[in-house]
Amino acid sequence: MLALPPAPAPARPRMTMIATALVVAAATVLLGSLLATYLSVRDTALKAGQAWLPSGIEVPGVAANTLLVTMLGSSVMVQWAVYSIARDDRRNTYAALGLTGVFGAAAINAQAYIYRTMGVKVADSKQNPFGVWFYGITGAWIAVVLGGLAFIGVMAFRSLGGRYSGKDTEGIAAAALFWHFLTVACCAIWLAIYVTK
Amino acid sequence: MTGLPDWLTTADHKKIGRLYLVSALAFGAAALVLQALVGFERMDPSSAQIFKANAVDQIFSLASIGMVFLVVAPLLLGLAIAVVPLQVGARSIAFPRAAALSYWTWLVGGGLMIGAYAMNGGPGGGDRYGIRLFDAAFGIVVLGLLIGSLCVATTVLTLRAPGMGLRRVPFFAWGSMVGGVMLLLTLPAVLGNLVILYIDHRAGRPIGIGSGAQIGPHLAWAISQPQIYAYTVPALGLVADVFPVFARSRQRLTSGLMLAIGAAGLLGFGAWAQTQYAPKLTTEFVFVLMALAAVVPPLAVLVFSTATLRGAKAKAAAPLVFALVAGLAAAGAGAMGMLTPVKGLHLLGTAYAQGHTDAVLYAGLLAGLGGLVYWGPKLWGRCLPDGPAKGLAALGLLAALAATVPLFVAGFIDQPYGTVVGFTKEDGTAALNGIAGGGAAALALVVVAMLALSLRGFLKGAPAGDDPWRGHTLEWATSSPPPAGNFQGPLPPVTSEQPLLDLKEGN
Repeated sequence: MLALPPAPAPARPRMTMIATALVVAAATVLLGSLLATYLSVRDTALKAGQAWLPSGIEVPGVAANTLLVTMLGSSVMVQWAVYSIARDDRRNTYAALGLTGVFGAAAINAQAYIYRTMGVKVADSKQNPFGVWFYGITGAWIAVVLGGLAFIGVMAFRSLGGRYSGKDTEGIAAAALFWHFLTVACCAIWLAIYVTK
Repeated sequence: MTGLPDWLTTADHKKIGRLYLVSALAFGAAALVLQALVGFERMDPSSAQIFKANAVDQIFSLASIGMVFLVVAPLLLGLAIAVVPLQVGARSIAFPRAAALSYWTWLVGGGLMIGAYAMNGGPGGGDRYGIRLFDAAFGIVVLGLLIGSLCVATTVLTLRAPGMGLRRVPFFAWGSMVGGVMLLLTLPAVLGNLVILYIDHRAGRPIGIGSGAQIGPHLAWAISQPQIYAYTVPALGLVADVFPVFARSRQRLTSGLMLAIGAAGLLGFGAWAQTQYAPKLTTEFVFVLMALAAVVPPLAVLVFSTATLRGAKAKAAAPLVFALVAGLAAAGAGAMGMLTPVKGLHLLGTAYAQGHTDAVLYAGLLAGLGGLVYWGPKLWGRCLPDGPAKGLAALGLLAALAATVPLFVAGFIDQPYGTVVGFTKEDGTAALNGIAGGGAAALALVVVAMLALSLRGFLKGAPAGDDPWRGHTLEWATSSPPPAGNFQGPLPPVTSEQPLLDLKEGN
């Protein structure tokens, strides 16, 4: 072995934040590719003169808008958590993380209500592929939201254990980054599926 | 904990990497045997000889998908998981338990995928449960690779030794980071495809989008140009790392090499090229440009790397021979890929395109074997016998040539991609397919021989010492095999791309 002189102390890596950014990029590709193929298939159907929404299916506008507003609200909540932990305000941090979780659950509930109200069938008698992509995109989004809820939950427990404070907000900030991505994804889905139809 | 329980529960990146290596090579031998059988099957395309007629397409797709997702991608990922933390001077990989999860997820997914084929599932399959199992299993395999890629990329981005900026990262670590990020930016699109296929098949129409016949067209982009290049980006890093060590000289073209490896990643971004949804995409300018430019990075890496040999007293050890054959194979594959989209040649959808895909993958496989020879002594603490390893490298290149060149020729005489029973258009394809099958069989033998050589060498071979190759980068500054925390003492200061060479030269 060579005799090695000591190196300077390592800087603190922002591992969780960088990894979360990479996961956000990957999840963007997942939902983005689904939306891109949705738009492609819809465009093909419309150009062929076919109706895109199956007959008798209507988008529940109020529920879809409620879903969007809920997610926008949850983004405010999770940013409140970052703001609070940066100021060592633990009570508000816990409240904000808890409310983010509640808003996330409410968003999933809103999506479930949309499923029930619309009653889209995957196997449409006219071979309309809307249902496949509708459930594929929204289902993938719900799966990612569940991942976000788990992330928020882990960070909340770590905060309870004193892991994060005003000097180290990385975990909470990383969870917030992921949650903001979920909100942006919700906006894109809302626009592509519920608005432009 | 020792023995089997230790291996089953380990979060040590060196062990996880070795598990990946051994499993991927075992899958590799099996996939190559299938490729060989498919080649022999195509000798008489008027009817099925070896397999049942309705199983030929499934065997072909298992071999094709398996070579990418069960062999080459995990082989290079496993090498990265084992070596990259050592190269960047990290005490561990980022998220070690996630790295372990990555391996077991991938392995279980791989087993389920093979099980799905056994149930008559997969592309071209007819069993509904088998098809659904394939969709789910493929998703699990992709998820495992994504988790592993995340660990490797995060390690390079955040756990580098003090003084090691991104421009001073060893080439293999850089290539693994670029390759890992590219997988993170492309493989989720495969998951998206699988979600659609699964939903349609599970709740939709049995003859619709999710049917067995539709799986192949929906996923073809993931094993075709340009995406195929993304899986082998770390191989270029390996080539660039090995040459200067055995040339006993300092690599001075580091910026050019890093640019070339980065460009290889960018040119391998294939998630946008889903021809199922945009059939005319292959004639578009960007697609053609990417195919034409893809030869530049491997060629640049080969030229810049071999430049270190000029005037040097190079030692022609087995890792150098493997790096040379992998570099040649990668550059050759890139060159052949330039012709694929040329309009007048009509090579897309022919055996030529398949030969190109195989050539890229074989370059990655040879690089992976080279990595095993180069870093194996560090990971196991023992050396492989140099002569037999060199022989396997040469045989590997010859086998890769035999397995791919006939397919290029067959493509020019319009033999279709895959195993089209009933193709009788031209004479001469029987011999070409037979040679290609023989090449794949020889490559399978190379893989099996390398596994046997590794088993003997790494268990009973001569002790390697800490720095058997007089390496330039940090992984050679620790003991062989490295201790639990990778480095016992403080790391050497990193003031250049070759910190260990700096120490040896007293800079």
